[in-house]
Formats: sequence, structure tokens, C-alpha cells
Amino acid sequence: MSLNTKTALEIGQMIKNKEISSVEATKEMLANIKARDEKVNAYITVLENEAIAQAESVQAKIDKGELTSPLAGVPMAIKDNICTKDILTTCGSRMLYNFKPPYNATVSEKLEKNGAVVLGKLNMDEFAMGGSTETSYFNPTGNPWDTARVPGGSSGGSAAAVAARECTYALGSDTGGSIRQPCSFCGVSGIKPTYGAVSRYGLVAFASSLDQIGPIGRDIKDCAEILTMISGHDPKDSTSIKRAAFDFSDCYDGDLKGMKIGIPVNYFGKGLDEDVKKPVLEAAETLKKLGAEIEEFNMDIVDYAIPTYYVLACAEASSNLSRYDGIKYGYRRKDCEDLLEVYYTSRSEGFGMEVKRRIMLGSFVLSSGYYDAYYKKGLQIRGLIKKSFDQAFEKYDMILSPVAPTTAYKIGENSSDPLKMYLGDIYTVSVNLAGIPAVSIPCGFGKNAMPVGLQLIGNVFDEPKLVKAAYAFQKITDYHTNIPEMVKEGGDK
Amino acid sequence: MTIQEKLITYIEENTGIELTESLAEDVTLRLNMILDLIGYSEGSAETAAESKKVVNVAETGIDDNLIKYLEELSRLSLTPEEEERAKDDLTKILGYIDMLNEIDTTDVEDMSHPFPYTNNFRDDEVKPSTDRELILKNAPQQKDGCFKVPTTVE
Repeated sequence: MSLNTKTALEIGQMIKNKEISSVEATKEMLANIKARDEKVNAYITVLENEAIAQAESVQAKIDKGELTSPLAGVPMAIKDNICTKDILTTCGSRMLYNFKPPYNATVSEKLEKNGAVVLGKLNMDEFAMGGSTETSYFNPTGNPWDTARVPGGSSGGSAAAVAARECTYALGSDTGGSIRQPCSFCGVSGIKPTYGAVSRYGLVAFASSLDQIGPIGRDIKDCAEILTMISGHDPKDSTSIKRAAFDFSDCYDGDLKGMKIGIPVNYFGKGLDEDVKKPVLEAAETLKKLGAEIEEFNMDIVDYAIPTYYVLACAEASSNLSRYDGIKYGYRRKDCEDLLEVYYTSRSEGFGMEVKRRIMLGSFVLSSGYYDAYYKKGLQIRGLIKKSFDQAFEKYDMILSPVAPTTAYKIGENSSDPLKMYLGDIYTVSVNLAGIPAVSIPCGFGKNAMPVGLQLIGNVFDEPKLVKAAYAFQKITDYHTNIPEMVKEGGDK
Repeated sequence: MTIQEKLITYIEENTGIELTESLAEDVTLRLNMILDLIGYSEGSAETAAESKKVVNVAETGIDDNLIKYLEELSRLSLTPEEEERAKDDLTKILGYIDMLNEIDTTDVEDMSHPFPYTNNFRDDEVKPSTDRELILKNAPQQKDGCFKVPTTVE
């Protein structure tokens, strides 16, 4: 039986209806991994035996009526910066090449409680620093639509695994677009939740005031279900917010009457590929047909989002990554004479170049003499960016924009020019700076046959509005149901 | 020219009045009192100029001294090739970041966190922590229940 065209919720329902067992679904995904992952390299760790054993035990609980979650028994995978007890968690870095966390992230606990079957851990840019999954110590991931191209990043393994049907859904993390941009490049759906909606306990820290864990799936309904499962206040994360659980039950009528959507005109200017612009503007027309009111407006401050983001994210990273000292866990250079030598050699050999660059940039903007001109300035402009979003949401229910200025590019095409890479984050980073939610859903294909994504940005905790709009769009379009050639019957050969 | 001489020249140029010696002395005295009040001393002007020069690094680029200093702050040692690349890349990136100065942020408050929420602290209850053995499992070297490092104190 092929699950290629099924969503995670449909597979969950099939398991409940006894049309398929959790073990069978798991074995099919493991077979897909075996057939395709040599080319895709989405996984850093595959838990073949463990997953089958887990599927057996979950199936027994489903049969006894002990597990009733809509996604119970459905096989999935986790980005490798989310801690999984006794399972390798590398962050895509040599620094953590042998790290087996002694504890579970809160989201890993929640998955387990809901009967998720974990197939393995997914590739990513080293410490989530990158937009192409090329900075991974464990080799780049290929885009399932064209394995010579990047899958985006940093959650490139997560998006590629979902697109290649090497899992039914995945968890990623988003600090400046790391869920949304790979979803756009790989033709899958994802949500970057409101800051504080999902516990960060057990997520290896990159930039703590920006990081959020979120779902990647085949459609927005899957993502909403996963978000319901993983969100909620956690006493172990003091930045997670106490509030009622998400309720997406009113989101699936497909009617957008009365919804007001703003389009920031300066998002569609210079630097945006025609290949992306056309399908995104067509998507706006589609939403209009569904009843939404569309209006253009200006949001100039957002042009300053990239420099602000890199100042703040690198500052936080330089502080967070100071914990890697070669002593408590992770990579350590052998035969050092003294403590300083342990620090210097372990860090220099354990981190890749992009991570080093960001640590040094962060050290720079925080250092005496430069702090006010860079770090403080960045914090102030962050406030101005948040304010301009607040003003936009007084007029609009949501903002529509591209996810990335281009479709997936060739592996190696941009990797020697870090600034060029950073500019690819233009439409995504402001969302993290403001702490607000956004979804990324497929809305077309470029001339190179690579997927294009649409971004919908909402106000704090307005995920239901975003899901409602995204669902209505997916109900009458089929971009999200397209599958790459390698996934089609016989495509493995 | 000292700051006192500069002030006298400034007054003379702008009023057209040439100050007598006693008036000039009076101006110097009053200026010294003000400088005292704001904690100015000879040389601090140089420091201010120095720090201004430092802040303009986006224009001047990152030199060898600064890259060495950043390596030290970051506890990283780069190879000579990596240093050259880092110098180029960081200069380029900082040149780009410099556009933030186009925005006037006078009286704008810092925003270090997305929301104005204060930390939700847990109740202060005593609970067992993770086992020492589990924590030590990932240690590259350990001895007698501790992390082992090269000798640091003779």
C-alpha cells in the first residue's frame, strides 16, 4: 500500500480504522528512507529497529483504547537540534557529533505521550545557522524536487523528508525563517508559531529571544493538529506563555468573507524573482475570490529587518554557544596542555566556518565600544519593527508576502558569499523579531519547476486565522498535493 | 590647541570682541569649573575621538588587531587563511549593517524580548535533579564523579 498521497491525519485515521497498522506505516516510511535518502540525505540518524519496536507498542495501546490522539501511531521525524533522550542530537555539528541527551525536550515528551513513532533525526544547517542545509557537518541535504538543489534551511532535512515522503510530518525550528523557507523550497506546509506558544525546553539554543519549534507537514490541517499537540505552557520554559490551548475547529469552512489581508508593496520590489512574484500575487487573487478583502500598504521599516536580525541573532548566539567548552559534553581535542588550549582547540575544530563567523560577529556587536552602536541600536529598531506590525494589524487580519525572494538554488551556488545568503531572509526575519506567527504554504512552481511558497503573517496568537486562510486556499488549489518525481510510483528506480 | 583656547577663539570670532587677558582668564576659570562638573580631563577627548573611530569600523574595515581580539573574545583560533576570509566577510557584513544608522532612534526604547511579559518563574519546590551519572555520561573525560580537565592549579 502506498501512503505517498496521504496526509498524517489521514494515516492516523487509517490506523484507527485498522486499514493499516502503525507498524506497516512505519515500515513503509523506513523503506522510503532506504530507497531515497542516499540521494536526499535528510536524515542524520535513522532509528530503524527502535521505530518498529515503538510502533508495535503504540499499536498495542491504540488497540486497548489507551491512545486516542488523531496522530497516534503515525511515523514522523525530528530536527536534530531537539533533544531526544539517549538518541544522538548533533545540531548538524561536529561539536555535538556524539551527544546523547540525558533528557527529552518537552516537545519530544508530548510526541511520545500522543503516540508518535519517531523514525529518526533530521539534517540541518550547523546550529540552525544557514538557509540551505549546506553548513551541516553531516553533508548537505538535496531537494527532493531536484537533488542538485538545496532544500532551504535551516530545517532543510525536515522539509525534504516530508516532501520525499521519508516521514509523514516533522518538527523543525524557526529563528529567522528556518521552517518557512525550506517549506517554500520543498513544496510543503509549515507554521512558525507565536513566540512562547511552544516550549523551548530541550531545543538547543541559537538565539533564545527568536527561536520557536514548529510543525512541517503535507498540508496546513496536519500542521494545525501537530501544533495543538506540541504547544502549551511549560514550567520548564519561563518564556512559554500561559493561555488556553489552540482551537482550530472553526478554521475549516473555506470561507474568507470579512477577512482583511494587507500586502506590503515594498515586499514586491527589487530583488524579488518574477518566478516567485507571479504565483504569490496570483494567490492573493485566489484569496480574494474566497471572500477576503485585499489592500496594499507600505511597511518601510521592514527593509531594516535583516541587519537588525543579524546583529541580535549573532549577539545571542555568541552568548549561547559559549557553553561549548569541550569539557561537559561534545567534541574535545585530546592531549591539551592547559584549560585555555582545551577551549581554543575544541571550539576551533568543533565549529564550522559559518558558526565561527556568527560567534565573532556577535562578540563584536556586544564588545565594549561597539555595544551602543550595534546591539542597542538593533534592540531599538526591533521595537520599531514590532510597532509597525502592531499598526498593520489594527487594519488587517493578516499580511501576505513571499517566503523567499527565489526558488531553490543549486548546491554551492551561494555558499561562498555569506552576505548574499543573509539577504535571502528578507521576508522572514521580521516575523521572529516581532515574535508573531506565520505560515508557509505552496502556491505554485517557478520556470525551473521548483516549488514556490506563500507566507501569511498574523498577529500574536492569531494562528487560527492563518490556518483558516491557508486551509481555504488549499481546499481549492492542488499545489500542496503535487509530489516530486522520485516519490511517484517507480520513481525510485 | 586646548579646549580653553578653542572656546576663547570661538567667542572672539563670533562676537567680534577681542577678550582682555583678565576676561580670558575668567572664561578659562568658568570653563574649568564646568569641565570639572562633567568629569572631563585632558586626554578624555582623545578617548572619545578614539571610540568614534572605533565605531566607524564599518568604513575602515576589520584589521588584523581587531580580528585577533574577536578570536580571543570568542575563544577561537583561526588559520591565517580563515582570518583573511573572516576579515573580508565581516567587513562586508558590517558595511551592510551600517544602514541601521539611517534610522533615528533617539528616545526609542530597547526591545530585547518580543513581549513585555516578565518571567513566569516556577514555585520554588525541591525536586530531584538529573542523576550525576547521567550528566557525566557525555563527558569527554571524567574522574571520581567530576569532569576531568588538564591541571589548572599547581
